[in-house]
Amino acid sequence: MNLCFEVISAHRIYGTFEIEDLRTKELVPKMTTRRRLTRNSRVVVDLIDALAYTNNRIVYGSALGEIISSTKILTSYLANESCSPTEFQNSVYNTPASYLSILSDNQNEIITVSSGDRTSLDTLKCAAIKALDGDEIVILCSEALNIGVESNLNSMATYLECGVGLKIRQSDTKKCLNIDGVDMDEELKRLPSSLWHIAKIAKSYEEGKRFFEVGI
Amino acid sequence: MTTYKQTETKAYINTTASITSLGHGDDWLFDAICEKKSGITKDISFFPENSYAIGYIKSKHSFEESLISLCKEILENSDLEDFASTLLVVGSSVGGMKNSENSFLANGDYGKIGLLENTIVNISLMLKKVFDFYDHISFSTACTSSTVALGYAYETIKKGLYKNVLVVGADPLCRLTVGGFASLGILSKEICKPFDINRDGINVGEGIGMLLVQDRTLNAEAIELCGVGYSSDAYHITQPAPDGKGALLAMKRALLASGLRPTDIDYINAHGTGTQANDSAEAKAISALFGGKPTGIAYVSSTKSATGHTLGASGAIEAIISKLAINRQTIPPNINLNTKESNELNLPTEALSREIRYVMSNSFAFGGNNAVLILGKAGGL
Repeated sequence: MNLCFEVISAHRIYGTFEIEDLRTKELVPKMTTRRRLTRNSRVVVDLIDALAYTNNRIVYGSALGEIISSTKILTSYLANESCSPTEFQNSVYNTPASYLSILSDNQNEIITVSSGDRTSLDTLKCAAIKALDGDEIVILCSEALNIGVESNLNSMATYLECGVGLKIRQSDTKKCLNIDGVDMDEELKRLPSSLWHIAKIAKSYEEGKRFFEVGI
Repeated sequence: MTTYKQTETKAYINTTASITSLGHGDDWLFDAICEKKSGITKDISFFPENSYAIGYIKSKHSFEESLISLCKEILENSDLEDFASTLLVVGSSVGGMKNSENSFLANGDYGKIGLLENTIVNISLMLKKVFDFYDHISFSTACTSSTVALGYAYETIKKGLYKNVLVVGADPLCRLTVGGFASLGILSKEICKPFDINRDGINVGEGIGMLLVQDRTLNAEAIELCGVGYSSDAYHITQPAPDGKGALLAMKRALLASGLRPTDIDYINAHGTGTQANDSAEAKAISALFGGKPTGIAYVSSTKSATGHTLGASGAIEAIISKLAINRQTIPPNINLNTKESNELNLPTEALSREIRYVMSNSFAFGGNNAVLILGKAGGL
């Protein structure tokens, strides 16, 4: 079965090690909050500002989640030190989505998908299913893989920090482009594979296409 | 092209399987809780300088072997020949972290961090090596992970998109989580005391809960998954909103999805972690839902003093306990509850034989992520 959806807005941001022009300071003026945000959280705060977000339901996806926080915790254990409470609080996969809910007072359903290489594909499937209820769904996918030392994370992508966001709604049009039929280009292949599907759609949207379908 | 049509399909939990610190098997689990046994033991293996009370799975099999064994059990007790038409939905908070953590801490090699064996999808990939599923998806919303997975199963079946969904809630113990909760100062050194005025924190536990959710009833023990409600506290990254507003909202949404009223609920399997913050907020939310009247409202118990807080697996395990409460028409007791903090909740300290029509199962997580399930006897009462 295929589910068709219309993309209402899209945004994507990438950086080789870190995205340098994030507007976190402007978007999160309260310094005490801003300082606690993980890199993934900063990325999604930036994304959502570009999506005409109105406290919609959110489906967030990340394959590796808060790997930077997890690595810091394990490094502290290796040095026989206790872990930082803030680092632990920030180590769960739904951390960026939770900061978004706090920053925007969004009391709606916000869920987090983590399906490895196919994370953004599954995030799209999940959002398309939820969109059948008739509301607009925000989809956000991000990875922040720069743990500060050489690791096998560095070989996973050229862009170690990246995020893609879409706002979608269910559509009944018969003229949908199947996401499997959307071409990958060399630029998109530099992203972690967990973001490929959503990045393809965001790029196609920028090129004027609005209707897509995903098989479930 | 969209082929979706609104359906009147219902979602039923037909077959379940579990392993926790109390042992292997759902009946064993429920009996042990009703007999007020606890699987929690004192442990210094993670941090020799500090003893914490922890819920270990005591088994000769590895966590991975248990996952596969339980999955085989589900298949054997189902009407399926295989899982080729089944959607696998996994909920976990740490996924494969245990293995990559052990590897990293053994040699400090950053090359051991980060690839897929570390992540949530690791559980699906392990199962897919043995079983052929139609498709799979993994959720990680900390301690609501497998409740969200069950909610997804409910949603996809209700919408007529799938007929068979296997929900797996699974979380092994690992140093990251034990040390993390210790850093927050909320790990108890004794068996935890949910809803007790002297409660001093949680017992981290490990466990696996599996539920086969289908669009049909298989036997007289089938239980309907009547509804799910989600909400976000929008309050704090770890602390629940003190007034319980997010929890209350999720409970109200679950009732709305189920078409039920608060008075239809006979038992609430509380999130009840044993922390000051959670239990206080949850008690306020339950009290608000039922109008703050202790007489005649649903019985409330937390089963975490028996199983430990199995984090991302807890929603699945507690859904199994909730199902058995209906099957057995028995309210599981609060274990280790000596001095009740709230007089507005019905908190039984012994197993009670009662008519149970509908059960509400609460799960709340870091980030103020809330998910609530409602289960009822198939066909209503």
